[in-house]
Amino acid sequence: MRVSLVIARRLLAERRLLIGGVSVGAALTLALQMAMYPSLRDSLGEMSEGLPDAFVQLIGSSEFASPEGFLQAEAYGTMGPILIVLVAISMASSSLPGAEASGRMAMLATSAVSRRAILAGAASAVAAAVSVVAGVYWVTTLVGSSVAGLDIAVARLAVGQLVGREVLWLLGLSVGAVAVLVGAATGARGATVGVSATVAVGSFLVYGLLPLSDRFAWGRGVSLWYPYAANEPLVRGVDPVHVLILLGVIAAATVAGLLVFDRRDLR
Amino acid sequence: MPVIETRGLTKRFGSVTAVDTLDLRVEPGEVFGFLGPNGAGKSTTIRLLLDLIRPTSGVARLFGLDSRADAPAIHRRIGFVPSEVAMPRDLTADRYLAYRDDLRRLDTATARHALAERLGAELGRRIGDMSTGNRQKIALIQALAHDPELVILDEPSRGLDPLVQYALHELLRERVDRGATVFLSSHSIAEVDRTATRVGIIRDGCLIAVESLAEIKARTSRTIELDLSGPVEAAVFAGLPGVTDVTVVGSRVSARVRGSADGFLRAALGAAEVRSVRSADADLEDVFLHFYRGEADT
Repeated sequence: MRVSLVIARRLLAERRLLIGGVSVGAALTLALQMAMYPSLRDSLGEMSEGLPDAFVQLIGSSEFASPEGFLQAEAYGTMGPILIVLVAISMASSSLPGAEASGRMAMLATSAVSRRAILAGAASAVAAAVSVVAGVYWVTTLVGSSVAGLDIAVARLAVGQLVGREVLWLLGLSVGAVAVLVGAATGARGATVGVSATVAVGSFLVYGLLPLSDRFAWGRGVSLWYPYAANEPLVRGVDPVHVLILLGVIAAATVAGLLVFDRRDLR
Repeated sequence: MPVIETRGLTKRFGSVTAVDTLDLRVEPGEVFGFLGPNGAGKSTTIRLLLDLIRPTSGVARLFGLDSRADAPAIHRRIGFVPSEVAMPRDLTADRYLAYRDDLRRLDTATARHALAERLGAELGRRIGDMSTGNRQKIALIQALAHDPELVILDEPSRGLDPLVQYALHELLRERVDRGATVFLSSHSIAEVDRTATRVGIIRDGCLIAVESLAEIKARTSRTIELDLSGPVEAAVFAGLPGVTDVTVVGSRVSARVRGSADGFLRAALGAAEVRSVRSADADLEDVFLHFYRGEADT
């Protein structure tokens, strides 16, 4: 455990510019969106009435003109997931695959450190980076909504955040765990970025587009986006079942990562 | 109990056999030179010993422990320098070595500063700003600072100037005197010659011989050139045992000499004063040809 934290700390230090940059970018983008909301409220209301169902599904809110609906659609339906997935995949691809591509894995893996400790260190670094960005997003939402007078039920927001950081945190951790699994299995940066980005984008499209077909509508349930967005957490609160599904994905991917990393040749 | 023991160790990558049924035994307190051309399977063997890759078949034991099941316990007792040294470029050498200490739960601050002085390394500099040779010094310090029982070095002299190479060989000798074992992989006979007591020769993944370097040199040839005080006849060197390809140009003589050079030098001294002697290292290809010939003859 202690050794895994040493490894995680080093990985985070190496990627501090990425984590800091995305955090600042996320806060500024979110603050800008909230600052613009009061002046957009009326036109958003008119616009939302004419929006097709498919688009509403994709942006993640049916109450586009309300403060919660606006944030759900703008901040938590698009920008937030994009940033959190970016950080998760970037961290995961630079941890195990990055160490193997640079040749540093040979020296790390011969430092009286078990492979499980190495993988745990990489997974912890990904989790910490995702948590920092999600945390910044959460604080910005709370502070920004108050400053901009968005009148969001702070209690609901806070409870939702504490349970699952509005589940955005868990979405980031899920994609991060999948990326760590691919990195542990292949040791290849390209495969890690390609597969995990495909999972993230594919989940988004499956969740948004399959409901358009009566025959395949059930399929959106297999998407990572479904437990993240189906309940519109910012509007309706967090669904515990969805939280459990995301936690299950994280646990399964992490255990699978431990098993495959323990068995393969390192580069 | 041997420090390193492999039995039938084999590694295949698809259809390529990188290491082929390797049986190796390295005893405590010896400097074992692992000699072979690039691509012979030296680094693959080391990676198998260190559990970085897993054997297709066969076993490797270090200190009597299984290379895979007991990897962290083995790694605690070894120091390792890979053939391609890679370290975080954003850290100073001192902070990187402290990070290595954190991983190993050790404090080697005193030892690493003493080693840095011996090798002429600057621990306060960022690794990213260092030359290849200076990075190699840091890699050597991280391998030696915790006083390991077994030092595994893969082409350790890469980028080092002759003085630092000399300092490294001194450091290795001191550790061997204290009971440590050194496994030194190299494609250079000269490098192995300076330190090794026994040599394993590997080619195309097969260990073709394990002998003392003196025995190998006695059976392989090298080129010797003499500057004499005056012209001599080539006939002076005719029929000398182990002496071939004699070329005489005025007062200069060159010849391929296998084994002892005593007869060749005495013949020259009998004909003129010997003003200088130059001897090239035994050629690695020649060493291999010798052993292949030996195999073919049997």
